Amino acid sequence: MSGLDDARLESALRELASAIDWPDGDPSSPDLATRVRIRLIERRASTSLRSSLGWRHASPLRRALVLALAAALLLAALAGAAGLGLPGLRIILGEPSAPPRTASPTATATADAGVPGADLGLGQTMPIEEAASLIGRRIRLPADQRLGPPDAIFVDPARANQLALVWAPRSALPETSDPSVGLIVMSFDGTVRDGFFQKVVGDTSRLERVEVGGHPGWWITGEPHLFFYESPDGTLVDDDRRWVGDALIWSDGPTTYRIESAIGRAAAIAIAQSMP
Amino acid sequence: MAAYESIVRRYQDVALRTAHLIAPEADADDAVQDAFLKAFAALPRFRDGAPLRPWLLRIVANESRNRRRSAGRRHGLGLRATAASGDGLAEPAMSGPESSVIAAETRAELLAALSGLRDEDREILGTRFLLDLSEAETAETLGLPRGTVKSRTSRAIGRLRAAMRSTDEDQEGGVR
Repeated sequence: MSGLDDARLESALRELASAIDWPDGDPSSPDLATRVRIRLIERRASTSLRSSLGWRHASPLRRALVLALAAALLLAALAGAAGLGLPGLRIILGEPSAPPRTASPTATATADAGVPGADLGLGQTMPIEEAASLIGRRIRLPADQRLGPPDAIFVDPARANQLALVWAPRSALPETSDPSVGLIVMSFDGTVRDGFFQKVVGDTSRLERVEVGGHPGWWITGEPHLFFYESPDGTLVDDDRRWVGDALIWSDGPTTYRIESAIGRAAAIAIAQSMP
Repeated sequence: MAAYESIVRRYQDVALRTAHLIAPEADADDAVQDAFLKAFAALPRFRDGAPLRPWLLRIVANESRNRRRSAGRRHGLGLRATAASGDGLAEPAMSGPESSVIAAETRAELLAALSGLRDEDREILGTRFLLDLSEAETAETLGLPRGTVKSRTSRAIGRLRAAMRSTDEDQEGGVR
């Protein structure tokens, strides 16, 4: 072996690479790129806070970063408490994502043009019975007669069995930032843990504690939101879709719900509480 | 930030390998995370048109060196062969048998010799040949002039051969 000439020794070294036990990251936690992204958001938030004296004159982006602090604190609390391994929910309020996410390939392939919410990357459209069977949990529909049945039902199994019920705008449902959508009622596997939310201080976005049918909830208004949640298998799901309106979030047992609309807090809570 | 995340995803494997090469005793995952955070902060200083990979790897290498200093030497935590092949030295996936330069059992010898080299030699041989970076990329990654990469590689190859020769002499029938 030591008799190999330089060229063959160099080739031997190249060949050796495939026999080495290289590190491949920590398989028990979110992938490295996701962790870097989360840490960047945390860092930006704390930097923004340090210079928050210039808040009033700050750019929208800067204000958005300060808002991200709430998420950072939330995330840190969750990470500390849950070790990034237990079911839970993480919310990051921060920079809006650019264009709406195109969702998973399956969702993109099956979303129907013309269906309310079809451009939002919510998943595959399907009949309600099929959706219930796929996600394995009971579908709770708002009882408000003015709404009627949802105009579209989307399922994205890869995102913690996310179900999205979408209603087009109508008299009781003003248009949201997506003109095809008046209301979205989403649900997914995962729980909101009490005590991890920080009140957001800002003039364009607010996070407010509310109660939904006896369950703790949060009413989020203002800036678009960047949303992470942790599915029951410990996977960190990065929901970078731009929200279409104000959001009401609450959890009930193992399921978390989110309503997006332009109907205001009281009406959103009324809809939430009408879901048997 | 989503764009940067895709950059991280694209280069994370080679970054982890770089970190492991430079500081086998330290936690490569931690080093790479910190390096990517530093790289993000340094992005405004990145020269347009320059290759991104060696620029990122240089930050990874610097971060790993810092960690090597604080981690110190911990015996048995150097470069190791994969466990999947028992002795970890099964035939690597190659394009054909003719491309295999060394027999399986001698890879252990080569790996041991490489791991036993001083840091500077292991870095240059590892970056140049295990990571298969070009001379220019190796220079950028390790923060060296290109001419130094050439001369240092040559000297490191000589020391690698010497280390293997001494192993050969210690092992009856080990010469191939």
